[in-house]
Amino acid sequence: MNAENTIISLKNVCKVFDKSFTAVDDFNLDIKRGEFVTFLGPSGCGKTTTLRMIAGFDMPTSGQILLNGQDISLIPPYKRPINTVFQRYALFTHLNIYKNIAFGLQYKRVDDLTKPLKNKEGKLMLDENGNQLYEKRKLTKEEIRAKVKYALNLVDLEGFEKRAVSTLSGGQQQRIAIARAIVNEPEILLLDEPLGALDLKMRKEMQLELKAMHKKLGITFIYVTHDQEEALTMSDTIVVMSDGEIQQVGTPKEIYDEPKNAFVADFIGESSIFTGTVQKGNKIKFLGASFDSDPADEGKFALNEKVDVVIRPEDVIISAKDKGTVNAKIVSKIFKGMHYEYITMIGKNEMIAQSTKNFEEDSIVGLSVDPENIQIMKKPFTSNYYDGHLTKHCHVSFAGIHASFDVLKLFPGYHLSEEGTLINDKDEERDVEGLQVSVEVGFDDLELSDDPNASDLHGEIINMIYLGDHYEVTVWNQDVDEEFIVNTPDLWNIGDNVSLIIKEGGVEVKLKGGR
Amino acid sequence: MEATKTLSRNKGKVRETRKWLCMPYGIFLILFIILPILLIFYYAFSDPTTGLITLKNFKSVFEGDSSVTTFKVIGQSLGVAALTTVICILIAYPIAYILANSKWNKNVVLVYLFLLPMWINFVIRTVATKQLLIFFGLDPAMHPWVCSIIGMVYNYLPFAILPLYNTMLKLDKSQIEAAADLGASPVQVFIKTIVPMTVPGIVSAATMTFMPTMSSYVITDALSGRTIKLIGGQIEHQFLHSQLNVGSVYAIIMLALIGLSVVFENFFSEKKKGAR
Amino acid sequence: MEKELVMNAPNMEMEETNRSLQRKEKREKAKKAVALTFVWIMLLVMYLPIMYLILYSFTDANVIGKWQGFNLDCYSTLFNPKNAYAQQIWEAAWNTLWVAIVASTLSTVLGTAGAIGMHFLGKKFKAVFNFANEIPIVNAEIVMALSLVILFAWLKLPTSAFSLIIGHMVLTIPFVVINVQPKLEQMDPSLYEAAMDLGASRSGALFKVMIPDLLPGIFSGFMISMTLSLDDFVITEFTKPSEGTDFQTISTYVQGTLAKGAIPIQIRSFTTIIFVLIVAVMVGYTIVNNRKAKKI
Repeated sequence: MNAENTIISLKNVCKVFDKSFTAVDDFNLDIKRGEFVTFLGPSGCGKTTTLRMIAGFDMPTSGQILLNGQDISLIPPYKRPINTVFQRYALFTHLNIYKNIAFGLQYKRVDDLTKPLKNKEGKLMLDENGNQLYEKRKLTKEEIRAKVKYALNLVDLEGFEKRAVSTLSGGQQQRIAIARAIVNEPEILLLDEPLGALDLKMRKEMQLELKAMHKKLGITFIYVTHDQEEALTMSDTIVVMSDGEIQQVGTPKEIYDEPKNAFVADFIGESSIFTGTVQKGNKIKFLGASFDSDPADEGKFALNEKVDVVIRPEDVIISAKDKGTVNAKIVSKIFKGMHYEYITMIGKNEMIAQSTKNFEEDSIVGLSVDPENIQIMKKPFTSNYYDGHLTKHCHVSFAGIHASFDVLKLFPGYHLSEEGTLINDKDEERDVEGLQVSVEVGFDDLELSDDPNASDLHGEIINMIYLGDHYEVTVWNQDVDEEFIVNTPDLWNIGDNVSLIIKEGGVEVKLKGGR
Repeated sequence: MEATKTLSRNKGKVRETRKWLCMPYGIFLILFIILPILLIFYYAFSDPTTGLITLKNFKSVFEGDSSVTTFKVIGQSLGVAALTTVICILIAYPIAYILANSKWNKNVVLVYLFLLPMWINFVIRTVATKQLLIFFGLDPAMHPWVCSIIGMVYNYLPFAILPLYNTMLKLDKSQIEAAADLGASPVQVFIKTIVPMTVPGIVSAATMTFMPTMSSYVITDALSGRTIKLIGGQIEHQFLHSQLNVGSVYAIIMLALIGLSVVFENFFSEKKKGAR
Repeated sequence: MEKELVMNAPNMEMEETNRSLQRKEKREKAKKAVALTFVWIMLLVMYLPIMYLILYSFTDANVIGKWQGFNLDCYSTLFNPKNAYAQQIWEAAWNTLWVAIVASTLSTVLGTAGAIGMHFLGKKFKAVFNFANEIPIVNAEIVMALSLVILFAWLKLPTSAFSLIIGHMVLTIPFVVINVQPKLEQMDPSLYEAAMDLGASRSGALFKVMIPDLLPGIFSGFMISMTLSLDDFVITEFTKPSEGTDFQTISTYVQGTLAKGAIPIQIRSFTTIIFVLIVAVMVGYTIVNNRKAKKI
């Protein structure tokens, strides 16, 4: 990437709150000058925290934020050429509109062209590029007045100077908040869900206006939202975030057409997601049938590899029974104006399809998908992995719990004594306490229960993706800050507190260090 | 990417400097509020001349004849406070009800008028009350209790009106109308819906009058010809005679009574919360 | 005949309804009259002592109750600099005023800073502070007064203007804090950040954005402080300067003269003047407020 063009770059930025909650994890991003970048993700994904670190309200726990190549991580917000539009506007109610907009201008310093800087010998001082340096001065009243007028013009609120904040509607307050930020001519404008409090019609209007304003001003916009449609409409680049990590960076089209993983696919637009198996001859098996896959994906995956398959509803072709790759039953039909939306069932799997053609509910139809519209992506992983150690009684301790496992598999030639210790044929005891191991628990080896007494392991559901015939649920345990991914047929709610039950024989333990 | 791996390490927090603003007040609280109260306990349990720990001060208050006086003083303090509180609420309740009822009164000026006398020095008002009572033939020397209670009620009535008025302004009118709609007579509506809904106001009006009346003594001194003795008066008496140690004993008695009233008040407001 | 009856029946019913409505309205009016009469009688009783003082400020009778004929002696002597009583009253009035202003100002500054600081403390520290702040509100004034006297005795310091101001601050600070606290809780935390975002330093953001936003709470805290301080007797009696000249505020002066016998007649004219001033301020305030309300 051309460094000249990069205005701000975040390098390995981490933010940990209260020593335990990781809000942003190893965030790396370069943003180009003049770009409209959107941080998109569900609430709590770390997007606002990242924005606040760029603004200077929070400081990274580790990592660097470089503005024009200079580290600004530790510089207070008032010294950064960056301004923010706040979610709830944060207008100063004790000041009128004029004074609100002029607030930042009173601190601004500009070159006083009548007072060139001279050194001790009386020579004119130049900067490294050979430009003349001048003494700094405050803005004059006339300059401030002109700038405020220009800013008010830009947001279409001419003549509002003397109004009180309380007399303005929500939309007008939002415009004033924008004017108050851009009047300072920041290099970067940060917008923290600025349209969240507006009604739908107003929001659509402001989206277009903001986009136009971005074009006119030519400065970098960093926009935070949880609304995928807003992100797709406005941005040059979208940064999809989840759990404090970047999931994908790309243009709206890239994000929509080529989601990198199931999370992105699920979050952006509607889609059906299945687990597939890669087969010979560039084919992929899912929904019990073999589909031709995109030639572009050939060779990217190993044979028999388990992958996530994403199908957009508009890419599903509905035809007569037995004319498609699979047969499906239409279980629901909704007229959406331009098209029908069908929910179809293929065995136990659900697929959403859109079509302009009319099919009857409960009828059997054939479904097919063009190879280039089958999005295949690597599964992030299929098991949970933890570091653990062995305890005295041949249990394994990991993620804050103790679990039993088949210890004899790990130490062939040994058997368990009556006291539960490990001995070999010669009656020699082996002390395994504290031995470091890696622990693997498969997504299918865990069960969820809403009975808090069902197990010692508890957590909160923080993410859930529907994968055709089951849900992939992420459970987070706050005490040990570990995540558990579970496959479950049941529908849970994000935010539910659940107990995790490990199935018999579900814990796989490997010794570390190749022993 | 040629990321320079120099990580800037810091606590990861923008230093919140504003919390230090409470330091001066913290010092003030410790020096002039907490330390003096601790000193009361020290003085109550120590010998005025030697400074050694002793129960002497308590004995002088609670032994022999003096205990009779002490319990009489405590009883009178509680009696005056309870009587004043009950009468204040009985008078203040209808006043607040009328003032807060938009059918009868739409003007806050009437409320202000009830509060206005508070800005006239209360000692002067008490003197005026005394002379007025004498003019009406009620001599404080002859009727110390009647005169004292009149003076107390007169002084603390605004403190009872205000919380009751504020509660009644927030009364849920739809509930009252619902009760009337369901066939309750006006008297039933009043007893079964309005009174229960105003319990928080009654509790805070009671606290606002009971607590200060229990510890006051200036009004009773003036309006009883110093015949009704209250704990406050005992503390003042000890102070005027430089008996700070014995005074501290009375102060502890007062603190205990205040503690009890706080427990009482919490009990009632908790009960109200639980009932919801 | 029969036909007519049928025709009239609904009309009669309507008349009946109308009549009962009128009766009900009359009853409502009567209720209102009774209610308002009660309120006005109570007001009259409340104002009786003050009216009595005002009335007798126009006669020079030593004992109230014996009208000596209309004259302005109370007033002329009050404004006679050579009159000993007048001198005492004005000195006490001046003392009352400056103590109230100094103590309330200090309380407002310390209490506002305290409330802001407390707002950003951790839960535990905040709870401790709130508890300590409640003590003077719940505690009896006389216990606070005695405890301060003991503090100064323990420090072997005589009571002085310093102890008096401290005493009045103990009385008033908690009320400043509890008046500022709700405003802090209502405040949008991004206001302070917005100010810094726009280039204001920490202190700039504090003084130009936060404090102005808290101003209504700070002002009511100051006003309550003034009211409490001006009216105070107990703390003043205990902590007032004990050495040098005889220091009196209006409260202690009147109480002192009452203990010795009758209070000076000039108190009547003094109170009348204060009362007129208060009423004038209240009327002015109400008018200004009403105008503001109408503007919006």
